[in-house]
Amino acid sequence: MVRRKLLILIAAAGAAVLADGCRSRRPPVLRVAHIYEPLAGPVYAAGLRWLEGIAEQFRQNHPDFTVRFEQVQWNKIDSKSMTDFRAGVGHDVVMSSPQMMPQHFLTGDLLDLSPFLRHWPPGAVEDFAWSPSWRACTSGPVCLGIPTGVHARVVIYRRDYFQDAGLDPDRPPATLDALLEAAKKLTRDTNGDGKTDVWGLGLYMGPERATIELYFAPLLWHFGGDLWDPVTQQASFADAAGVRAAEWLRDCVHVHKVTPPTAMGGKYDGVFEAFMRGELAMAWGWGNYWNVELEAKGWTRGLHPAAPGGQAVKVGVMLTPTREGAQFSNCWTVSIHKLCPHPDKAFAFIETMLKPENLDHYADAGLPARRSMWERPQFDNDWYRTWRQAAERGRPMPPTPHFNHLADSVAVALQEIVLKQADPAQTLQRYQDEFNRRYAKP
Amino acid sequence: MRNPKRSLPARVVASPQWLFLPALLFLALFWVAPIGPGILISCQEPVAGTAMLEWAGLANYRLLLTEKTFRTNAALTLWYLLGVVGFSTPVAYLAALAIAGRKRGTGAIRALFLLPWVVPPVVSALIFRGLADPQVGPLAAFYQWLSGNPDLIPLHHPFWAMVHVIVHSVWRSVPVLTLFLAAGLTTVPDELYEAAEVDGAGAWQRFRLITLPLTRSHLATGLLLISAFTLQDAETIYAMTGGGPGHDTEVLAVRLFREAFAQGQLHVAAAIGTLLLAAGVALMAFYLILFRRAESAS
Repeated sequence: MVRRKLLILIAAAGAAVLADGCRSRRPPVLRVAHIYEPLAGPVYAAGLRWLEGIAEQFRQNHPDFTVRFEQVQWNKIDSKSMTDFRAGVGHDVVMSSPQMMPQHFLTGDLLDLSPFLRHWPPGAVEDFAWSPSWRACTSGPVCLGIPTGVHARVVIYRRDYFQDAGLDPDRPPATLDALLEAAKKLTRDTNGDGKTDVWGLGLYMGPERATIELYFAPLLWHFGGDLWDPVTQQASFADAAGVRAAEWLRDCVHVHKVTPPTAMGGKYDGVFEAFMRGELAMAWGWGNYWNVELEAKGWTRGLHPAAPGGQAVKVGVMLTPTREGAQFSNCWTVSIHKLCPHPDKAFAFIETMLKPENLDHYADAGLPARRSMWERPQFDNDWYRTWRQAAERGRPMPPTPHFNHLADSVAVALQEIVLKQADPAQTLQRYQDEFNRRYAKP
Repeated sequence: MRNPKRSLPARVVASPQWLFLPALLFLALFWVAPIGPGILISCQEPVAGTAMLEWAGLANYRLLLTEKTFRTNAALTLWYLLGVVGFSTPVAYLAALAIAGRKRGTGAIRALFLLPWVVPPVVSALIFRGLADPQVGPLAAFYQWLSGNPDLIPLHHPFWAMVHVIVHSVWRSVPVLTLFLAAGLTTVPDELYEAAEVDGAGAWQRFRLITLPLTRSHLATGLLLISAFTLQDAETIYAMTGGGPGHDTEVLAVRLFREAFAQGQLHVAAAIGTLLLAAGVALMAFYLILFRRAESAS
């Protein structure tokens, strides 16, 4: 009996030594959590290929490391980083969203990058620091993320539809009223079956964050309101400006009938899909991350990727006709998780990503993150001048750590207002009160 | 042969309830242990800037119970549960009566009946989302005909979105309930039906006076099972409607999912989970009473 126990003990010790040996021989791993959605079109696949190229470059300089990708849905990556931090589960490099930075600051799941940035050559930080997303990622000396690009939104329109409706495609509407008038002219029943086939203005008011970021907030800012008060930490979207914004959006569907009722649900990508199918004459909230599809369809030529002499063929873009600064812009930022065991290697990976020659090919970067890249000749045309203006005029979402809940509250209120014809003032107030009761400072 | 009295301590022999100890330990380990931390988290809230939680007492419960949206979530959960149970039961009885007995081909039909149950929930939810597509979905066309509104977009409509969610859940629940009821039907002696027929009882009377009382225990067990699944069902609704439009299909399980994974409010999600647990226990007690009554009646 004793001999048997002894044998088991020796076998267990041997197995432990063997396991330890295997572990020590395994190369250290750099975990890169990035956005990926296999069903969401070619941009994600291109992003993955780009990251694999970055990993290859990184491995050449750090042969002792292997890179492992962790794929997360775009709207879950920030919350995953935070919940994993609370659960003690670490990552190394993490893609992050500027609008979620206040929550990251509060949770403490991301590492301060400023000690690494101090070693950058003069002017390198300034090359990134122009964008609203950079501002969203920094608080005093602390920096939690570096922009990989700029995501701006404009109103895209079909030039041929403009011509058919007697509108000048070279002079798109510049005010909200003009936009609405143009949308009415562009809304058409092309086959005479009594149903609208081409809608004048595509919008989105579904459950995703785009509803607050691209539609409600720009209108609210335009009418002089704000989403959230940083001093009292109270939501303020139910004021008179918020009510006007909600009414404007509601009226597009019910009164002017220029926006399809499908705008109330599904995904934000539905705006893109409907425009590409030719069902929308104008699409508000068009993101530069969709531009690559315009090129594939031949609607632009030599613009994506940008080349000197590129031109828009079938489409045009205009700035969102809200007042200056009443637009949203963001991007994907890149950060280091607090539970990363080798932050120097993680930052080396980030530096590889941010090389100008690499950022050039990042499909999801959208527009150049580095100011110096904008000076290249391929960006010297009307198309990119509009995009650059949209990027510079953009502002981040309010720095509430409960932004997801704020976005949900606004989306749900809007859906009740549009779908149930609920009173805008009362509905917005109810959701604002629920938000404030939970999060506002006493 | 060993004398059991010798091997057991005198104290245990004097009080045989000690023999329950291993079972109690087992229960504590597998039942209370995972639930305990959840209840504990529901009484805590996060400390800003850290991964720590601090004691908050019943604050999370107070917050929820005084919130209108939470009351809407609770009402929708009840509606969802009643809808699923209410529609599943008659359909399952009809199906069970059809497949009970040893007729030719019933074995294959039983296997087919289980198909909705073996399809992964999210997959079936996505299929049903497609069926409610206003352009191509046959169920959407049916809802449009039923509502008299040819432009109806079911998943954007507060009432029809909930109906669609219930229809999907009924589709998933009926096979399980059918199996339970079919098993119950095989225990009912044929002589009872023959005697009832001789006495001139109609089909409805035979069902009401023989089938229903004698399969009540099977019904209670089946209902307990599908009710528990329905109460916990977050993924299918989330995949189909995301809880929308507005909050109109956001039952408590979906709210819990959103709080935990979309908003990172694990403590609030834990409070919802605890309340759902309490509702589940209450429901279990109700079905057990039903079961006992059925037992004593038979």
